[in-house]
Amino acid sequence: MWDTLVRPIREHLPLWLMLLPVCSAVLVGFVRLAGAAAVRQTMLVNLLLSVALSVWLVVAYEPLKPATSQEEAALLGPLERFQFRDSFAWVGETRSALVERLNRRGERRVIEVPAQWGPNIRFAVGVDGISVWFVALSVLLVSVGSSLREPLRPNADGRMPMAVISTPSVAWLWLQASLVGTFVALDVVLFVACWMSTLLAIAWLMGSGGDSQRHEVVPRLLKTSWWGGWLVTLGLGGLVLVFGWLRTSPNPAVSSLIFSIPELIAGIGQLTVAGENAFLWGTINVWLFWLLVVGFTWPLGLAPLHRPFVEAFASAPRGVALVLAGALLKIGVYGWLRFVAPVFPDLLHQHSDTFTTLVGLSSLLAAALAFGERDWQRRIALATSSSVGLSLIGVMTQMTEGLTGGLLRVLSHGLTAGLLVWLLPRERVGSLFQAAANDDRCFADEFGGLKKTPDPVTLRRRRLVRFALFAWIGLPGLSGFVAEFVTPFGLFQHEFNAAALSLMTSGLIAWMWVRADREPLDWSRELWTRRDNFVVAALVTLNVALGVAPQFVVNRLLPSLMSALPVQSEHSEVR
Amino acid sequence: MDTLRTLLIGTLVGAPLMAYGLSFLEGKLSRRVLLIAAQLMAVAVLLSAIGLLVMSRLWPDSIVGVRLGTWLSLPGFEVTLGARSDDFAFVLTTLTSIVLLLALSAWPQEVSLRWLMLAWFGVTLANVAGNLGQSFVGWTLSAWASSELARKGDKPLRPVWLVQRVSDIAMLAGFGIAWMHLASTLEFSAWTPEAIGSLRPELIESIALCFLLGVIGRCAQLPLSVWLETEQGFAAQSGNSMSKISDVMVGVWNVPDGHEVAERLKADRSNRWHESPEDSVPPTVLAWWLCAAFLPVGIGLLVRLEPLFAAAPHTRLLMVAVGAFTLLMCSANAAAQTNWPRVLSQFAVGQCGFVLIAMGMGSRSKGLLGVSAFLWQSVLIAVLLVANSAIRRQATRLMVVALSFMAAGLCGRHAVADSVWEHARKLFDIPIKVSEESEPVVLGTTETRLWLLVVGAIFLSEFLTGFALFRAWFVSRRESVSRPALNGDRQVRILMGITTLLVLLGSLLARGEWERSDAGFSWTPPRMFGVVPLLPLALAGVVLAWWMYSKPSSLPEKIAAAMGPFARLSRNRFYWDDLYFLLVVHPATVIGEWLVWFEERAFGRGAGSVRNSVASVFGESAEPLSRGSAMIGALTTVGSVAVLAWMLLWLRS
Repeated sequence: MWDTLVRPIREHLPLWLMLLPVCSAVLVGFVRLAGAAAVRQTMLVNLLLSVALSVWLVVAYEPLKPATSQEEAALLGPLERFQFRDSFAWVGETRSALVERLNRRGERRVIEVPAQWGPNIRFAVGVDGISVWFVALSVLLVSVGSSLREPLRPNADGRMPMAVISTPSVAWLWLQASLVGTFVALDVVLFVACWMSTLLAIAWLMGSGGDSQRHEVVPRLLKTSWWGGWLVTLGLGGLVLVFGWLRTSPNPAVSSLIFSIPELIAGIGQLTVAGENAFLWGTINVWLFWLLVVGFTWPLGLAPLHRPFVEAFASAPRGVALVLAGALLKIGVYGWLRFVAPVFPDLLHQHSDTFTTLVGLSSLLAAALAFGERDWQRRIALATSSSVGLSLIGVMTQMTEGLTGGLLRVLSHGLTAGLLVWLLPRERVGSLFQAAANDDRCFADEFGGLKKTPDPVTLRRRRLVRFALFAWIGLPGLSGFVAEFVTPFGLFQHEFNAAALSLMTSGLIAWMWVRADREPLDWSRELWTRRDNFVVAALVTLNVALGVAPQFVVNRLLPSLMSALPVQSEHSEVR
Repeated sequence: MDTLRTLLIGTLVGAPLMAYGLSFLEGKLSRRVLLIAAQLMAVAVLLSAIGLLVMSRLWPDSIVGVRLGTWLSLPGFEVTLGARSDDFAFVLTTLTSIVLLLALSAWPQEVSLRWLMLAWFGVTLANVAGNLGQSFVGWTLSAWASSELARKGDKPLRPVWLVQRVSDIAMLAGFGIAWMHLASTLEFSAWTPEAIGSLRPELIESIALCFLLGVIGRCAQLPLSVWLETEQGFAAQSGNSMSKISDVMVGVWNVPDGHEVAERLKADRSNRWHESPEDSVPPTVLAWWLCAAFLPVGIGLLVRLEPLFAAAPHTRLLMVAVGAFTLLMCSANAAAQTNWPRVLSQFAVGQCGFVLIAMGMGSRSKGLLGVSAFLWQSVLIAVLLVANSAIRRQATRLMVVALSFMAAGLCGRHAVADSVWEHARKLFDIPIKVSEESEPVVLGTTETRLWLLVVGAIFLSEFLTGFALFRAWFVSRRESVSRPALNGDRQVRILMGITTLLVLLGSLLARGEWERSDAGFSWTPPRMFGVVPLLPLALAGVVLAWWMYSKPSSLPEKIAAAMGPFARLSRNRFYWDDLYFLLVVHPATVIGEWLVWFEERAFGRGAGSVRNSVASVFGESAEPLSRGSAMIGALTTVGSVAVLAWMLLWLRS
């Protein structure tokens, strides 16, 4: 039973997580003929299976699993950091080649040797302690986002238009596969392809929903992300080439170009320590560093380059906005963790003071803009921009506390932003104050404020929004608290400016949310469905769980962080 | 012994958590049952704390810290949950339990028990914390949960929490810097004078300043006595630039003159002394805030970090200045308040300033003198606030006893004032050379003058305190009894009677001096007349209050008119809230809105106009730049794919 059914799934969980939405998309193509209900059921099954697989992946990941072979241990470290690996030839393949050789007696003989044809680009997937959380967050948010589709309008004959149901479903499945693929990819080309693919899926989803501004804002968002992606492509391509130059293989039949992310990262570190390689690397690495830094940072939506993201978030359907802010925006942070920090530790250390100060200022600017905003969606978008900046600062510190705090903030933000966006009203009437003019149930109280007798659904939603705000602000027992608490310890070791800016930003965001709480949203047209129960219960539970027991996450995260980055243990001596 | 110790410490931490768990049954179980269960747990914690105190006295080595679990563990960074062996922690826990028992005996029906229990758990964590992490968790948790107690129904977040957040952030900054330089450990045990002495002086001052800011916010000291409010207040709605800035803790609604609410209050003579406004914080919640959750926790941290402050003379001087300023302002404010919770709140915050003065002297024994006096007073303030809430007129006799004790100047205050005077005098006696040739002369330094000002502030505040408390009592006697006595009142009365008696006896005995001779123990009563004439000053205030308010007369109005703007200043808390609005809230709001406007203009329209300009220069071929970016996006994608394809082909060749 175990070997037949469970093991094939368990040992290939990332692959299954990528394949499942693809299979579901194909299935949707077939079952759409059977009606809208069949499409919805297919989506539901995909959702349940995906969530189950991602939970299984998190639980099954062994952070302290020893390396299986000595070769692997020598190259990647004593722990098997990347687990559940699968690798298939994609571009290029290993073939047999016939080679003429002279034997001892001087006779010519033709022998058959394996040879690499083309670049060794592989469909390689796997997860480490960092990506496992990004995968889980992505699956969760895509599941939540796809459940948040706007109400469908039936045709004149009272039936649902099939294209309206099945097309976004396929787009959602495509988005899920691409997003998971981005985080589980262990090959440079697969990573870039999946990242670009997520943008196309987002464009498709925004094209089929959202407000009237979407045709203006989607191209801007895509342009920003594509430019970033293009720079990253060049940077990673250059990295592969440089590694090929440095790694001169004695066997000409074996390709010198390595596209595998783990080997690339580990190999660069080992090959560039000294000698001629160090000189060559020192000449080129600056270019590659800046390409990757700009490429991964540009699409993050940091102020003052935040407008494409903020406008897209405000115009997108709620479900898409949720994934956009909660998972898609974090790919840049993931890129920093996966490529910039481990490949260029010295250059990052050299520039980190400037970087952290700039990103700290950016976060503060985004928080100040959110403070001045009156629109809830723009507030969330700007606060997201600020939060992403704070996560990135944590990563830039190259300190255990900063990195852990940054990662925990990514998770916490995904959960809280998800809950907030889920609870937003479907129709954008703005705050209660803005709606008051057309609502005769609102009247001024003696102090000139607005008084309204809220219905139970409004009351419940208002309390839940407050819960999300508390979690975002970082109150004890909730998800945001751990990041708020841990990150400053890393920042103070790194640079005082960054720490001060980070704390000021946290304070301003807290004040902003308190102000926002005084402008409650109008939920008078909203219902409370069973779906709301499930989603809200899941997000609230995860928020509390992360706040109360963060060690579960940290245990899985830390070995990968420690082995990937040159974390200074003697931090007191750094400053 | 070990089992007993573990049991007691387990009860100390576990009971609040259990009570919090039980509070989730609110609405399912009867409220009376829940209240009784919470009271039983409070009694259990009280007995445990007393037991631990006794054990630590009888068997000093028997009490060691207990680690109950680990919340977060990173290399070199571990946050554990547990309790440390510290008499002061047990004293604070005892105080919290007593205040909680008092509060539960008259807990308002409309306020949820859940937040109270969570706040209790937070306060306990903060009080018994042995490391920075637990201390911060408890500090933040208790502030948040306690702030939530003030929310009625579905009203928006109270601004009280915001100032607490400022305090949290300052604390976190202090913890961060201290952790980095103090051997990277979160344990308080690393904060030895030797370890602190090895740091650079400016670093010590920075860390101490961060913690002082945290304590100032927590204890509502100036300038953080005001809790930031948004511009959504009634004054802003009516176009008044002076927004509604409420100080929830001290219960003041700062009504601008000329507003209809102010006119209504003035027109109604019964409002001269009235119930707290409908929207203000219930007095029982205030009792919890002032006497358990906010002020004692802040003072507790101050005591815990005493070695740090001892090594930071400049920060201590600032601490003294803040304390004296707050003491004076709050005493003056208390003299113009119109109900008991407001008077007592101002009094409590002012007395907290007194502790800051005592701690600022740099001597642990003198500091603890002030802290001890404050903790005893806290119980009395809690009694009075709960009495006001529960049985009001029926507690008159108790109030007289308690007020007499406070207004007469507690022995502790007397002792601290004497110490301050001695401290100032010593500094004044230090000879200083004006020049190298001249003879040393006694001039006094800036610090000396500051201490003299502090002595003056103590004099004046004592007079104002005596006046304010007795004015409040005289005026409140005119108030009609609004409701008949309830059955629960008897329980409250008994509890308060016992507490007051214990506090009176306890504070008297504790302040006196015990001497041991061959004949046995002897006890010298505390001094009521010292170098500093506090008692006569307080009595002068009492006499003035009696003269003005013992009978209804037009005298107060005449005096207020004679005092001119000072009376209005005092009533409006010296417009401190409005100053806050002008300096902090309003600029922040304006800057935020201006930034949004600028962003829209500069990045939104500006970028569009640049695109149009570029398009007009380059002609039709660049038209897509101005129209939109779809084509550019497509071109970029095609370009990326082409580059990628070329790279792959090149690699293949």
